[in-house]
Amino acid sequence: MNPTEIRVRSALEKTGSSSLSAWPALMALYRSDREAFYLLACDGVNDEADANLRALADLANRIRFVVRSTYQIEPGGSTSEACLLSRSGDNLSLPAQMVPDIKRFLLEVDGKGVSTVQGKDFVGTPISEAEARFKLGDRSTWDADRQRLQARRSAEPLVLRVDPQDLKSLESLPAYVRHGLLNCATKTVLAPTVVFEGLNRGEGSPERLRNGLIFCGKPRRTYDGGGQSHPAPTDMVYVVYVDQEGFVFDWDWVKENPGEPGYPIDWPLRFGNPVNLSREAALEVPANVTAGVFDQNKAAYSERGDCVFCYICDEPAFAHRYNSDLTVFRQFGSETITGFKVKNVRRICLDDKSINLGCLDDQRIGPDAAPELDIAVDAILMASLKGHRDMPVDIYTIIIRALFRDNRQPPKVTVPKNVRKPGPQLTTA
Amino acid sequence: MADGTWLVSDLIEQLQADPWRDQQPFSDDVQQCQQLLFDPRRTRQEKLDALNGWLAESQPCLFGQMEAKQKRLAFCLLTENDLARSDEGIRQRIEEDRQDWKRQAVAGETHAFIIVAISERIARARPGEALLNLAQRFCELYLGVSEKDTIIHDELLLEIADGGQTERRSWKVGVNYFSTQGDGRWWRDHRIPGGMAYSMNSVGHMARTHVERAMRRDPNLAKRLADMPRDKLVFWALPKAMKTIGILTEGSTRGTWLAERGSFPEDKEPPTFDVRQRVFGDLAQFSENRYKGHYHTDETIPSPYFDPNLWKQEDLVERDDLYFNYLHLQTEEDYMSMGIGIEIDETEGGRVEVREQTGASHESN
Repeated sequence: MNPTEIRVRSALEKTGSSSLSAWPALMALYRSDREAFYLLACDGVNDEADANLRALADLANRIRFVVRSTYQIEPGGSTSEACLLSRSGDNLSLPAQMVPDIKRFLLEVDGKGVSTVQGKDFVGTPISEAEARFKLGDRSTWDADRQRLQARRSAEPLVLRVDPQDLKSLESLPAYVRHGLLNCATKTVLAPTVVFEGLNRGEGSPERLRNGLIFCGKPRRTYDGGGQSHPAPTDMVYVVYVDQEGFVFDWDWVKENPGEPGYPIDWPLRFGNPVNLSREAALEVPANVTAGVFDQNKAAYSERGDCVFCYICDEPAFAHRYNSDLTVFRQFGSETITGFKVKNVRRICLDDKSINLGCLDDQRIGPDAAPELDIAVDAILMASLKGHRDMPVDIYTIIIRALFRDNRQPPKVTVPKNVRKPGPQLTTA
Repeated sequence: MADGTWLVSDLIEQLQADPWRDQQPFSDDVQQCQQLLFDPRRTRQEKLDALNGWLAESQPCLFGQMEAKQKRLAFCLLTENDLARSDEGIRQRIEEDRQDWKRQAVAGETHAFIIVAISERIARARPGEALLNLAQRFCELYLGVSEKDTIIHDELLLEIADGGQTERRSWKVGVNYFSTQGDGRWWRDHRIPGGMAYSMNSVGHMARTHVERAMRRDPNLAKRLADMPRDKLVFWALPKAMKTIGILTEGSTRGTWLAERGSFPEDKEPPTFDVRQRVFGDLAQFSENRYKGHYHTDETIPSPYFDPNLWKQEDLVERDDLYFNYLHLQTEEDYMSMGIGIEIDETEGGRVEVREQTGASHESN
């Protein structure tokens, strides 16, 4: 028996705690001989020690790490059981009736507590080497821990923005889109559940999107058109799309991938790999983003995202991706179609000579030509179908009918003929 | 990561803007610091430097000022990124910085730690139940307990090398709430730019570190104090604590002040006035045992701070149960220890400026 084992045994026998189960025995040990507890937690016992002592040493050692990594106590599988979950993944079973005592014990061994004595502690109390070791952790990790904190402190934040053109578009889009940007997109960027690098929009998609970032998160609230908040929809994640220059051009609720909390459905199809950003990010939105009035006769083209947004009504909705060129907005609950987004607009228009949009090609624009082109959204929508011949046409039919309902003319969007010149790229490292 | 508890996030959502703040803008010093703190382009380090600069210049606690000037304060900065995470994530972040603080402190590199939640929404919030709930939640995440009007403590360790032996000691460290709401209010001595904070400051740990260092540097001092028990060598900090509390002058908006000696049962001789004058100087006529105030300086979360109806000094209760020290000091050794304060301060950069709340200023020693 090593000296720690002898000391622990003696303390347990003195207090009559030898036959107790691990938690009460350990707390009795701490009360009768604190030093024995700290030695047991830091140094353990020999493999030859009896099973009870080894179990006690194991629990003391796990407590040492649990306290450092932080923990919470939650109800267990039965009424007589509770569960201590540590941030590092430890899971300790506790007798439910002992939870208040165990909580106090864990705080005390961590140097925390409520005091009844007033005034400052000038003199302090002597402590042992083992107690210091228990409380400060293994010295071999100190430098690495410090460096990690320093790196976090000196990392330049990644500040994302929204292009003024896209902000202007918000004036005629449903108001919930604006509230989503201000409240959900900002929170998603601050604390993402996962970030992907690269938007897979198929061949001919803009390069700045292939190198962009996609932030996914689980904001606690969602917002309606009046700006009222509601609990976030269940089994959905919020997705924020960013081009390679750091401009956010789209943000939506999307269904969550089953069994993969915080990840959007079909993510391997839609995005590149998840990345660990070494920098924290924030989305800066001007405080004066105007609350517009929804106008179903207007659609919006985002040059940054090379996509068209068209809404049939202003009910809050989530985004449902149909293919690399089409996403449909569906009302929460009823899943009624409320609008759609056609992506890769430039490629679709350039490909489709039949609707005579070839003049979008950079090479053919003369100095006197108009710099922009007005295109009806139904034409773009129908042209997008050509690249997806295996798609059922019913969804397109429903949208087209909705666009022409009440003898309305589908809205047009203005697409610049010239491709945007690339700006400085954001660096994620 | 998507699961967890989100009380902090929910409580921040519940905060209402303070209409009083529209009439009473933040002080220039607070405003200036906040401009940087709320700038998303600034690194955490730049924000910490700004906060440290403010603490070195504008906070009333002499120990805090001294530590800030020496860049010995340890910080845990909770930015908007942190506050948007789950409570478990926030708790972990606090613990990481707390560990770093304790590890630095064991070598005497720091004695104080500030956990500050930087958020414009918190800074501009109206005092009230929602703000109190948030303050308590942060306290719970840090210390596991959060009752208001109680004394909650953390702990700090120090290793003292002494002739081949290492002595290890621990000090209980008081935890105090600070927030931006205090700016312009009766409890302005607990204001801080940027949002809400908990400040932990171990005077005992600092005093012992400084005296050990001073003795190592000055063999004559070490010789003079050789016969004195080492744990008594910390009371030199008491006169400075008294200066921090200060005298109540006309027009002063202090939350705490010194009381005439003789006001309390502990104010018995010895020591004589001469002895006290030697160590306390101009403050010899005041009690070195207790002081008075509108709130209890040891209590971590004083509930009056959150009472939106309590803003006139006349409405505040006067308390006389505020103690400088756990102990009643009266031995010769205690007072000898107090007398060495100036020598230690000289070597440890302890000379700091005290700004009165009325705007006047004087030097602390």
